[in-house]
Amino acid sequence: MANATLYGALKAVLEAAGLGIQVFHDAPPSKAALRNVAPPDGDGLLKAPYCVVIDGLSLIADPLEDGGPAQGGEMTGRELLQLDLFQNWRDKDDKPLESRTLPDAITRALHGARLPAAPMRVYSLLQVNRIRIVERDTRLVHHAYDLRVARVI
Amino acid sequence: MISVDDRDFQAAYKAWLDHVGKQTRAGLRRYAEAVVEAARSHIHSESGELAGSLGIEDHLDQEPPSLEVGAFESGPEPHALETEFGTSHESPRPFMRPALLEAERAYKVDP
Repeated sequence: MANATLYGALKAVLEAAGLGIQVFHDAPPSKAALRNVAPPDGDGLLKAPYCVVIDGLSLIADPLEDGGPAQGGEMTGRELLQLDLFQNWRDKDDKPLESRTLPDAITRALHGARLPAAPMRVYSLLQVNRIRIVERDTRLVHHAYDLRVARVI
Repeated sequence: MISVDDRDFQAAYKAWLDHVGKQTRAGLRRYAEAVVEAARSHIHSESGELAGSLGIEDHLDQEPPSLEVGAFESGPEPHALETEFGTSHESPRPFMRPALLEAERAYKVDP
């Protein structure tokens, strides 16, 4: 029931953008499912870039509107989410494998999205920040998207 | 020709600007201190190294004035970035981003 969650709504937006990335909730499945066979029989690279959505990192309620939910009013707040994009960085010969356009494509798909599939009313999804971290030990490059959702609680 | 003596106005305006600047800096410091306190509450490591590295660097007397809040790690294996954003084999355990949001209410400029 991925679509009945904020994660499901984000996944739907990313899939609709046609970027060819898998999207997982909280953590990816086992490494074996994501990577080619390890050397010496294979190259051990990721089969495809993938994303992980972690929702509910923080939820700050807005000041009371209409007396608050206990008085029948609406309650709104800002939820902090993180979206991680992992892709191959370089191969064993240091040939670059990273897509330089995919991170921006994800930003364009998400920034300002209204998440119509979300189970609650979402006023805005904003990308507040994005950082790029190279993981030399795994030969992956990690883009961490700092997302804030203004929504009804 | 009409001349206006605005020396009192200029003096009062400068005093007001000085007062607002002082109050704004005080508000910023309160916010930074609240961020550090909130960030510490989100760190659950046993060593206490990361929590102990949190601090504030004050550049309010520089141009542009600013406060730097964060983990000022000095050990051989800094791990604030990995803790905050996670890695491909470790989930993030953010402490700064929730703290920045939670401490927003501490930023208030007194009149």
